[in-house]
Amino acid sequence: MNAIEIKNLCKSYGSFRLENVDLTLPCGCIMGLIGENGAGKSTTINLLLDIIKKDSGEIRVFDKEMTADAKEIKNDIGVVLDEPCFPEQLKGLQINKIMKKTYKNWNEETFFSLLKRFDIDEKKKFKSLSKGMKMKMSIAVALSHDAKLLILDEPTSGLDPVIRDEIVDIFYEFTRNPTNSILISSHIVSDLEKLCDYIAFIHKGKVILCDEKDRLLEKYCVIHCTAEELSQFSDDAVMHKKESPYGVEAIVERYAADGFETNPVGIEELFVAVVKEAK
Amino acid sequence: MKGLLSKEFCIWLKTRSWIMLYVWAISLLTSTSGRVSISVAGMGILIGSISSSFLYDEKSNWQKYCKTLPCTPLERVSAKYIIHSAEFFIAVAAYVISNIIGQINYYSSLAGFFVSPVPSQSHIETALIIASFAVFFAIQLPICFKFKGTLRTVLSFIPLTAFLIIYISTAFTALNGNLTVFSEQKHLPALIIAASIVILGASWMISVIIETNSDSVYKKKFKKIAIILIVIAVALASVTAFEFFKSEENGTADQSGKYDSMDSLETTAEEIDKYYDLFCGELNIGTKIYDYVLTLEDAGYVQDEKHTDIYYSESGNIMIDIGISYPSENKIGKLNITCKNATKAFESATYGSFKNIGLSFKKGMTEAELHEKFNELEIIPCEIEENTFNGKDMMRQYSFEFITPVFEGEKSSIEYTLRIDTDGEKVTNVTDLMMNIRENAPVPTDPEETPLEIANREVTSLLTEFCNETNIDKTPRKCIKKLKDMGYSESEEYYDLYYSEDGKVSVSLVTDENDNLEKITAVANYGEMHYIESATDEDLKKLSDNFTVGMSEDKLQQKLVELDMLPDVITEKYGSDNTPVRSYEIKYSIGDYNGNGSLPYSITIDTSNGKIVDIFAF
Repeated sequence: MNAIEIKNLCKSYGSFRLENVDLTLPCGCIMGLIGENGAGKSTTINLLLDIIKKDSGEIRVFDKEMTADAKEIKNDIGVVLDEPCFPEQLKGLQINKIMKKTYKNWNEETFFSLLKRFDIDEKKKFKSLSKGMKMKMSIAVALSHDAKLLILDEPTSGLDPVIRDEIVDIFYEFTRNPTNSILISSHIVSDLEKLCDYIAFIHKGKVILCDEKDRLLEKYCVIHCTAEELSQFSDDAVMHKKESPYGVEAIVERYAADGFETNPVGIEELFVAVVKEAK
Repeated sequence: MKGLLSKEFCIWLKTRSWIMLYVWAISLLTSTSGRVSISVAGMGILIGSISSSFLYDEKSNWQKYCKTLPCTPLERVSAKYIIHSAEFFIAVAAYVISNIIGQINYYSSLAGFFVSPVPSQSHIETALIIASFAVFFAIQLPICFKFKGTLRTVLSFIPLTAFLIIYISTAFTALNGNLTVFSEQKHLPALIIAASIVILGASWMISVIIETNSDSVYKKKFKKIAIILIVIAVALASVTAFEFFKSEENGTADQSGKYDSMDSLETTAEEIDKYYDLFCGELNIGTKIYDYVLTLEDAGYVQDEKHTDIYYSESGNIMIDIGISYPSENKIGKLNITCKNATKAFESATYGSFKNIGLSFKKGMTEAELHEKFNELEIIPCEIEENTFNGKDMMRQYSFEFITPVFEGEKSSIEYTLRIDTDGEKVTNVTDLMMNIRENAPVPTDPEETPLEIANREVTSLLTEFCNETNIDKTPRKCIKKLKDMGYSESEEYYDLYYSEDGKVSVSLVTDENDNLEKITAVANYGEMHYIESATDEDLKKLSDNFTVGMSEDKLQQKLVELDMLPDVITEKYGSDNTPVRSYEIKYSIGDYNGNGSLPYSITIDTSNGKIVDIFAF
């Protein structure tokens, strides 16, 4: 069973259009959704969570149609949005009371132990927490109701590297349970590189690349050569090139790079290359 | 939904509970008025501030986050409706309780417990206020769901809220006390509330449709139900409006108490004699209403079913109207005792014989001596009034009216009025007046017109030109100018007495020590009374049945002219609740009543704020 199945998803917003998005996240895996600002990551997540209405396409979560069984499905989904989302006047204790009455499997002990671990005072108002603390509070809520799927929309955006690292570790812990899945969107590729099994690149409303991370990293490599040497490669094999007076740096398919010294390619480099080529 | 309700309650407690405290505090503090109070303004602010809860949600991003929670659009909408409806109804409870406290305070002379239920007009007022706010509430929430907590939405409700507060306050102040016409329509409050609930239901459905962003089952099903509810609400509102207009047009039956029987003069004499013994030892104004009413009830008096400040003797021939004194509302401010059968008819009489009656009473006579004399002469006062005159002097005034079929030199009956003033212990003044006679009467301008025609013309013009608006609230100068513009001129003998051009109408102005008008009395000199040759009870009732409480004053005046029931006396003064009241008194002489001989009969119609508020027929 797949945790998420999106087929031919379309949505128009004036000049922006999400076109024929296909994504599949198997159970127990982590998928990173990478794209520049305004690519359509949040729109995809909003459509997935039934926050906004789709124009066409199909969305299934845990093999159930999202719009038909939304309430049932959402009990098993933990959500962290890109901005803090609790009313300012609420304290941890009150948030616990509210969520206890909202989620079927709410675990009070887990929630308070997470707050303790994150060093969040449960009697402090939400508005008096720092941005990082607010994000941690949201994560604590997402992790306290035995969710099978975490959907995270830029959860580390605007946070300092120490906290980002801490949060990534928490997600990593979550995935130790083989039935738990995560869909995480971000434009901070380094966070996703550590965590994800699958990577999907979104650019201008289209998924331009979606594959297993390891396969992607295995498939492509970086070579340094001259322009003449590069001209011998077929167009299909060259993903991206950067020419300079000192030579050419190119990202090519590994199979075509026999005889050349290859270097591993990072997801970030791959992403930038893919986007530039798409332009 | 429990989680959403819990969140709404937490936020309400922290951000909006202060408004509820304000509404309750102000309602209780202003409850003594018993009428529309500042709690109306509090409710208006409460309703207008509902959009702020959406603003909080939008600001905290909760609006987006709650859609990720396991709850349906129906639950999200219902949570908002439940919490805000609860808020609204708690505020309504504050208003209703303040009204009840006001009523208890008003009747505090009866030791602080209910004597009668809250008068019907309060139920109507309450229902109308609830309905007005419910409609506003019902309109506001779907708009908030559509446009969320944007500043635009919030700002758009500020002028609407202000308008609603001003509209309701002024509309109900104007209607204040004039809703008695609907008191017969006991189903109206329930109808109004039912329509409000249906409108709220339709509003809820519309909000759910707006909140549902996907093509779910709600949209289709709820659209149908919302349309049905809107149709029902419109139907209920139309029925309610129809009932209102029907009531306004026809008014309700005459409210003049249940005692219409015409018992013998003997019964009235016995009863008034008893009244003298019980109450005419000293002045009653300024004393506690509670004690006075207890004694009345022990003496067999019964409270009128509709007018709780009116009591009737056992036979119904004596009516007592108790006015309260301001600011302490448990004391008597004014008393008016009216006796049926009181006007004594003389078969024949001379002016001298009338004068002799008056001469029987002298200044300095004690009240006890006065009552003895009344019994000796076998005369019953048609009215005993206790009041404060000129703002300071408290006085009791016994008024007697006598008529005769023939008066020397005249062909028609004449009315003779005798007034005896006391200070509660001794007689201070005795005055007598002859109606329809005035010395130095001017020559009619049109010699072909009969005196009766002239009088009818001048009374009709008084109705249309003088009684077209309230005059008692004007300055004396303005009032005098108005009379002079109509051709009236000042009497040479009496100050503040004006006569019409042909002398058939006299208007007297009474002012208080601050030169504010206290009473305006217009008296018509027809030269003869309205005369009915013979009549039965039903014939007499038919006369007053032409008028109904709630009828507009314009219509009343038209009818008086049409039916040739031009008033003999028109009085304008302030009622017990300080609102201007105009009384039209039409007097009849009945030649043969039920075969029992002649009878004086009068109809008094009281109007206030342009509508009939009371009709008395004696």
